Amino acid sequence: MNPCTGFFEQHAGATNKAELLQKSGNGIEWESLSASIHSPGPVQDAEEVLRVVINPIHVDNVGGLSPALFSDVKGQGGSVQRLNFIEREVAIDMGKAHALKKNSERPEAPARRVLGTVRLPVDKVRKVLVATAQRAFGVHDTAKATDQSHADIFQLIPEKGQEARSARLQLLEIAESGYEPL
Amino acid sequence: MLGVITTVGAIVIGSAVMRPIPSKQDGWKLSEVPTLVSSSTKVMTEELISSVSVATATSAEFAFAADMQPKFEALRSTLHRYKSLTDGWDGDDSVAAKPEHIDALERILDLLPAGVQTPNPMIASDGEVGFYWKSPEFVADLVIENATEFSLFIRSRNAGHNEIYIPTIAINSKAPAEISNAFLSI
Repeated sequence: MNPCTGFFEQHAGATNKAELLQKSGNGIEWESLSASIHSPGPVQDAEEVLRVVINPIHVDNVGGLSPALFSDVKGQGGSVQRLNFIEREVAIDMGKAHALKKNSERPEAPARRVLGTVRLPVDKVRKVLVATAQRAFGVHDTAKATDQSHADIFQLIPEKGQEARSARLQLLEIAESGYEPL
Repeated sequence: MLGVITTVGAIVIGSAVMRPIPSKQDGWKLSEVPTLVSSSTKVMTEELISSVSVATATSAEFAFAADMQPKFEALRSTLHRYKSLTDGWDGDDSVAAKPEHIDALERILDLLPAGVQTPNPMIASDGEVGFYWKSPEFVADLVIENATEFSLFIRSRNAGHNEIYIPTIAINSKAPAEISNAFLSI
């Protein structure tokens, strides 16, 4: 087992994986290693990943995306799916099933439905730089037994401060370029 | 030199008023390292502030300001709805926002200077609440730090991608000037 897979197995249940990855100092290096035994291979720069938007709270009243859409990149990781390994329509169907499940589990929460998808070129996400010239995000292959296409975006810089704010708005910019409402 | 800065500042605030919120921008250069302009609010001269007031005090703006009331009421309604969210609202690990943070955000609505575009509200899965703005010239967000303070970040869309970050602004009568100065400094 490579050290990247070992790290993600060790911290499988952690909600602060991004912070742990950042502290390990291996966030960028491990992009070239598989993070899961179910992995079809590390995520390549030329790939595109997809985020299915299912929470209406992250879409504003003119159809734009909120910067908070990807706030999970600071915590357990921002879930995306690799379009080399899943069709957009299949990802949307999975999103619909997930929304139904969550609506059933939490009827008091805002009703979820698939509002659209965000297509993110991996090289653009990896090229986001902040004022300290640091890379802001890593894209790691975190395939699941039930979803070989699964990957995560992790923030590799501290959670707060100017760099974090800059990274968030740059990621929003990429996301809006690839947003396809349903 | 001051005249140039004044013109640019007036255009930024003026366009924030007049232009619709875009959903997509051109010319965004992702590979460039952003330029740090300032970590605190720049001091503005009375002349600059005065000229901005003149630039924004048009009859069109007054009409726009009147139209803002329904938008602000809608914003307040959204903020009140945030209070109904409980832990787990955006995934198993998400947390609810603190009510005092939502109250603080609502107080900021009354402190936004004239000419600043109506913000969009946001809430993150970690309970962070704030506002954000998008214009052809910049993107910006404001985040509640605690019940009495917020932070403001603005990033230019122009070449160089200048950034302004003010980590702490007190929610009081001085806040409108600090917000104005920040938007004019970008």
